[in-house]
Amino acid sequence: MSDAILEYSLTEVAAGIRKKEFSSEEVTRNCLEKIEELQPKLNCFISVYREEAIKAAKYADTAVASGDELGSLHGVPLAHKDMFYRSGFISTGGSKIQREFRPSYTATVLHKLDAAGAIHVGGLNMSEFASGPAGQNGHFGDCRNPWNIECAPGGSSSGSGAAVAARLVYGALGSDTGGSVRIPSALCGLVGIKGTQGRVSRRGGMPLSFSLDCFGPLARTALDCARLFYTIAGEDKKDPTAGKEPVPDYEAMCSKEVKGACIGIDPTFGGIKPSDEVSEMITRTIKQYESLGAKIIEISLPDQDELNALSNVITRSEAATIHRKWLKEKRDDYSPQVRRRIEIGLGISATRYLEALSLRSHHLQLYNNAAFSFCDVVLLPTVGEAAPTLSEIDVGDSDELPQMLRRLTGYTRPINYYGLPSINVPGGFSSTGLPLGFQIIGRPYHEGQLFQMAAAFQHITDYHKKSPALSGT
Amino acid sequence: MKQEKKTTYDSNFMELLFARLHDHWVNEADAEGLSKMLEPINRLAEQASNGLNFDDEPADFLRVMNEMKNTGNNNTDE
Repeated sequence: MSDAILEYSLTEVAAGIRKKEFSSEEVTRNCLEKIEELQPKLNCFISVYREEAIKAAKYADTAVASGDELGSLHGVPLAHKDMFYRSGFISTGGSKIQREFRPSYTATVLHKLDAAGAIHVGGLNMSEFASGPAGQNGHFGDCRNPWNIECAPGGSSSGSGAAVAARLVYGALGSDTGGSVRIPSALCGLVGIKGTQGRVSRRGGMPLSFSLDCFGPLARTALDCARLFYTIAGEDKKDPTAGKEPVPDYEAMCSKEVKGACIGIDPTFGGIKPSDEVSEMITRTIKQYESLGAKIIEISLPDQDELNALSNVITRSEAATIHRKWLKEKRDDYSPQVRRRIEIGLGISATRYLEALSLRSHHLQLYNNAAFSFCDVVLLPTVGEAAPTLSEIDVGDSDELPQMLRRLTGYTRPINYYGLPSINVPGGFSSTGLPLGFQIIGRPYHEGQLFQMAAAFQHITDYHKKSPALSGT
Repeated sequence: MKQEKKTTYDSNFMELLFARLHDHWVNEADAEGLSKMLEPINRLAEQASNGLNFDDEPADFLRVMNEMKNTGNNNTDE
């Protein structure tokens, strides 16, 4: 089997296994070989479950041969941010503190992927405790962007972005508290979705912020992402925060036209100016949607800086609550930058925190009035620039840290505060060949509409078909 | 004589607050860094707090989310 199979999309490889064009074992071994080859360059894995994955793939092939009923991800190799618990397997959370942590139960999202037949090939690199949009990790080493290994893949789901973009696996899970699925998707050229708050169970995933954490998939195409999201979304009796809304057929939405859909654009991007290249990418994207029959209208979004501050108040307070004991007992086991980002939550008053939570409904209503009263979806940049170099983001815990955070999360963090669904779509490349992405934001529980918009765009563009030269395929 | 308003989270206050409320000790450099990160967040959050009404509470968020599900133009189908 050649490397060409690595270029297949998730849905294509699942169909190939089902039709016996190739076996799950062949596909899985192919991925494992590629991981071995590229891991020294990319450092996107924290652990590889080689033997377990091959065993599971052989078992999957037996099921195919026996004519058993097969799940939608049967035999497909995936890997996930190293923060989703699997009973008996180490789940580091990208941290020194949890380096040997073996949970006693399995995350609901992993149970759902297992039930659909997916093969779990390993735990992916990430920002320590999912705290940091650049994706650095001082304990396991920085993960690198496959489009240019001098650049950051974005975080905190850095390994998820790098591994899928480099064609090492067909999809991955990440978590998004302020943009951590969408940012690496944008910087690595992938489709990644953060669903409506509560759309996906959070049981068995390492927490950062109870109110804002969302788990979501990263994949190469909207269709792949739709299949993964459909698999993990929905009610979980073991997680009372998971919504009970029915989960529609997202894959079916990927073949629907977007003619007549109304897209809202704020020419000021909520007061945060992107780079010229990103601005031009948005202009091109608007024209492409117009060519599909979508209507574009101008809207005026609320000031993003104030919303970023409110979101930060919640994240920092909740993270500090989760980490308070370790901050005292294991202070030196945190990298300084992560420690500081979490530690500041100890200084936020309870009233300030509750104000930020209580204001959520007010701001969501304002957003509804400003946007969804006029349009179906809102289009914004995901990140205002292409992937920065690792040296550019190496600001430690210096005064430059807040500016760096604003540059990377300025467009994404407010969406977590609103609790709205948002999908990143590859929108082109920078002059230096780095991916650029835009996000489409929808009303609560309207993820299907986002897949529809993303898939329609991918039908007329080929950005998602390009692979980084590094993958050598 | 008019007194200059001090920043809320100056480093001395951070050190004191952490020690008294959390029995948590930070050195001067950390207190300074934390102060610089928290001050702008707090200032913007204070500004935003003007929008808070007497009877607002966190649970209202779920109500608004549910109301929003079926509002708007809805030109594309779910």
